[in-house]
Amino acid sequence: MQNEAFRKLLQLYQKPLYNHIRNMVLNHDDADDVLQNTFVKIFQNLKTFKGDSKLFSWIYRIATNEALTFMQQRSKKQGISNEEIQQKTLNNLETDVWFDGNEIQLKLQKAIAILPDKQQLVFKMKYFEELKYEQIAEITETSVGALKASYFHAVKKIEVFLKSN
Amino acid sequence: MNMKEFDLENNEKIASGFKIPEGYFDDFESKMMLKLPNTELKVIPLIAKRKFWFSAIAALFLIAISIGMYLNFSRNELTTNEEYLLAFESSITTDEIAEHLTDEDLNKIEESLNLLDPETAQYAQEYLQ
Repeated sequence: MQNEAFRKLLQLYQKPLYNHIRNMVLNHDDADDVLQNTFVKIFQNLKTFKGDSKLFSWIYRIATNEALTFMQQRSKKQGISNEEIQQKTLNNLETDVWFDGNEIQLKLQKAIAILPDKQQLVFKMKYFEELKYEQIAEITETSVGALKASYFHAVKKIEVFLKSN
Repeated sequence: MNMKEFDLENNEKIASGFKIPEGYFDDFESKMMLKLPNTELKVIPLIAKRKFWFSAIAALFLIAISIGMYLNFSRNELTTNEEYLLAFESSITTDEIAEHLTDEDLNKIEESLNLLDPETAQYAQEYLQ
């Protein structure tokens, strides 16, 4: 019975969570690993979910934390910063079979990569995933005002980057 | 798109450009169900909460009987009025009573506790310490 409930949850969240994680880690294989770990964590912790936050934001928070942890470990393992890994991945995007973006999409990805981590996360959640500020606020446990400021700064920086490149 | 006129908010939306392998989600669900740890989500019955109180009451009951039996037994051996009064004084703490128990007495209580179910025994042990 509980497994059936979990199966429903899987069906509902697998695609949006994949996109969320993929936007963060960039690479499909890594996104696949992180997505699986995320669902294992959700399954293990469902019994401790107290309902004091929405299931949606609780699930997204687990996915976000899993992706961030993965990125930290990856950076530690390779002995280079996360920014360097991101640059490396972006430089290889053109040959990545699971990236079919055009010139502007590739430039947008490169522009995002120059942003501070928090602005990157906010921008991706708002622009690509089209989440509402209130939803992002619940997931990241940040105020809507701070998120709006982050997004505004992110957009301006990206526009400057795109105009000058 | 002309980069010089680039306006992220008002221009047409730009997709991320990431592609998902074909059929990836077709078997993701079944792959994931197999990967789950071999533990069903546990529903904790309400009765489990009551079990604690049953255990606590049982432990207290046992302690009361043990002390009662000890006092009955030792009353016959009391030789002075002071000791008699000490045994029946209501303000005497369990620690003070325990001081009068011999190692053998304590061992017997411990043995009887070991015969109980582990949860009750543990509670009683903690209570006695």
